[in-house]
Amino acid sequence: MKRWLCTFLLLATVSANGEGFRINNQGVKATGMGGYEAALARDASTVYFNPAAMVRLGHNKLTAGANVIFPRISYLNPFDGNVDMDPAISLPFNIYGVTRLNSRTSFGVGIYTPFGENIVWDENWSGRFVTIENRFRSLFIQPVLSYSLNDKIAIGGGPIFGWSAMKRRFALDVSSTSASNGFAEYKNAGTGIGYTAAMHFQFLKLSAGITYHSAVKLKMKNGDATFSDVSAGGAILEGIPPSSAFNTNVHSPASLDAGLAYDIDNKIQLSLNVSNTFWSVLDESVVEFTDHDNLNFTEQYKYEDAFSFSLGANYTYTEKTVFRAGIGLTKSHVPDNYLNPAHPDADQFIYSAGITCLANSGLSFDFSIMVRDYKSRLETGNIPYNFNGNYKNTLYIAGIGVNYEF
Amino acid sequence: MNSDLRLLIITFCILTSGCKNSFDEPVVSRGSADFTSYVAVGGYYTSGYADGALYYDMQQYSFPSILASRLALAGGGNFKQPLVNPGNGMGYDKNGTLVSRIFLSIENNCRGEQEIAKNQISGDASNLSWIGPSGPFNNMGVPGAKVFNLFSQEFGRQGNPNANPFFSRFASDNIESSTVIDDAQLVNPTFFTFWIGIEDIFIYARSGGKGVFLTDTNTVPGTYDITPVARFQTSYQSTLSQLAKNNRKGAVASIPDIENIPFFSAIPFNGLVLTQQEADDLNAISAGYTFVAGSNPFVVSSPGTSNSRQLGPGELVLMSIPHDSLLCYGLGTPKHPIPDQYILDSAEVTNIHNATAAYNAIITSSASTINLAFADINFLLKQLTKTVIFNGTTLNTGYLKNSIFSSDGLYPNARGNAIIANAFIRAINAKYMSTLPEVDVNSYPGNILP
Repeated sequence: MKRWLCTFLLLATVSANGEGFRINNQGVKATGMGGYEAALARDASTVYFNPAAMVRLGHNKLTAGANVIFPRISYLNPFDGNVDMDPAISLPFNIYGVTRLNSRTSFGVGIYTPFGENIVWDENWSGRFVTIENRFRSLFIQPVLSYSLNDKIAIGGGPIFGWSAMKRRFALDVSSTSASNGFAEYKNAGTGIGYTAAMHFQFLKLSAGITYHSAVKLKMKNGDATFSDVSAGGAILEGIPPSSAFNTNVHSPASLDAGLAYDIDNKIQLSLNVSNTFWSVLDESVVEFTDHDNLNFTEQYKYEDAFSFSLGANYTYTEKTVFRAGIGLTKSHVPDNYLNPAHPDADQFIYSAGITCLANSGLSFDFSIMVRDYKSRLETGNIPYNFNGNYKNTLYIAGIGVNYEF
Repeated sequence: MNSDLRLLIITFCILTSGCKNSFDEPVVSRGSADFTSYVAVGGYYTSGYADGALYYDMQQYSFPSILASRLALAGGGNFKQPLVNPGNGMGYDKNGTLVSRIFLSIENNCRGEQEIAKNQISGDASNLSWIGPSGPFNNMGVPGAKVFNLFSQEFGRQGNPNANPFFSRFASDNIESSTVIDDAQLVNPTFFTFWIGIEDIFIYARSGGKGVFLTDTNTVPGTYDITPVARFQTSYQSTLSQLAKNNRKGAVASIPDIENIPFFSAIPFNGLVLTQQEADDLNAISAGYTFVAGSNPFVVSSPGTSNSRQLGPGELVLMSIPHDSLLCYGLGTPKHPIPDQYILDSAEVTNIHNATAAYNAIITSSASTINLAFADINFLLKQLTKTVIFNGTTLNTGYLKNSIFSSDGLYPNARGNAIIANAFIRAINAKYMSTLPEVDVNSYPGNILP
């Protein structure tokens, strides 16, 4: 138990900044086909995508995947032109294992990074009072059971144990010299519990799946807020201490994914997925200080539930090589007038491709690339910060995975 | 497998390094205006006066200087200001003594609490030396200039009792014939801003209503008088017609209401805050008043009598009131009624309102008659009384904290000037179809705290 805990903590420290809060790279094969696969069961990542389908895997399986996300985030401000976000690479990963308990029951465990963010702007940029650094990391662990009701229908599910850490940094308007301002840095971490539930259907060449991940409320207590470079006069006027403890909650939104997959022949397989992420749970974020009420604040998010769609194809080229490609579309969950450079979201098109190479004796490797191309978005009437401008983001994501079955 | 991996990595590198998202920078157009040579005519608010003085650092952030930095993107030329020497600058306190800018420091007040205190030392007299030969100047903002001073030759004559030392130091001819409006022509302006009328009211207001508001236009108004409306109109329109002759383009601006300025608004009329015990003690010794725990109207003396009375809503307490006396020594109670010089009573406030409204009516109608851009700074400051958010910072018209006003409570700090420059930019863009970008207000300093 102790060793297990150590491993978990080690993973937590290296985990998982992601790009746009919900990371849709939970499996390298799925990434190659647009990001989702609620109907397919090909490797142990089905622990995440559809735990009901674990019983259809046939063998004991292990899958591990890692991704590198290179963001390109640009902002055109109305005052002095282009600003590009500082390069901030993210490394989400996942590990899954599935074992057959008996002919009708399988057990699996997944460790994955469902959401994350790694947005870093220059310390002196025009949006410094809104955000300089916005980092979320997460690590969820999910033990699941799958039970086959008959040869067509299976159900599955289990609890989710979540951990998340946040760090935010922005400038404070308490100047002591003409050129400088103060800085506020918030760091916190916490845990929460949720669940997942799924159904899977298999009719000859057609399979279908539906998967629900509940929201997870991560309660973060006793974080450190530190306030630096605050002039003595500024501290008197604003009532700012050098540091203080604070509490906040972070919600990982619930999602409902549904998919259909169809084997056209022995070589070609199509997969269609729709997904709804229930972002509206993130209406606002409340930061409360344990002994400095005057510093409490509420940030308005006003996020809206958002729909995703993806279509992917799988082509078995040889016994040892499988190619795949996918496209997708994700609607933005950030409404107009609430777009924040800490989380510069927009409607996005997703393009991806991948390849699987089978080595021998149950070992195989997956590779994927994905481009998430966000539509250029102009914010003109920002309400929380009156921070306006033109945003354009593109994320380039490379994934590598390894699978072993026995 | 190995070659697949290499191919993937190479593809990926090409993809990520080749793609930059940067936008096309917008093109700045001058529209139908010609910004080649810009002259700014006005008073305190045009000169860059702040923190109780005209000083070098803040002159760099005068609103015309900030505006000129944007005009330069659309053909604007050099903008030369009559800079004072770097250092403490020059200002005059209410006794007429030459003083430095205000420095803020942290001191213990009479209650032993830490607070931000203001200090001034003596001003830099070397700034009184004539710098006329290094002109002509694009910034013709003269602190203290009333509208009828702009074409007065005495205004720039060094040593003349009617001279203004802020003008005589840089007038092109400080012996004889310079006027502000003539000197403004020396830069051959193609574009102007004209913002005048603040002094015509504010000098009366900040003195606690020392002067009068006459309707007679034949008497030359004294320093502390409000300029009569008819005289304001004649002077304003003749100055403006000189500036706007030959269809020259420009912008004018409205006069702010004093309620939106911290010098007049930071201390509320009912700012006498008492505990129950203090209220009981005062009630025991003073007939005719009833004090309660919490906020109470200040007690002020009635001029010319030994009577006192309580302030009413709408009457104003000036920031020049001795702070420690208010805090610890019973000023504003029946024991020590506030002297009239620190108060604007309802009649004085009415004078100021009437003058401000009448001037602004003249300014707006002149702007539309001559077809000039109009920056409604009065409206802008009214909005800022409620706190405005700009790129994540809050800005307001309070005192010091998040304020767009400098430590004197009367004149804008650099951030305030940037907001004012943006209001001019919006007005100019709207009138002349130019596309000058506004400035990032947060890149200018607010009040520099100790």
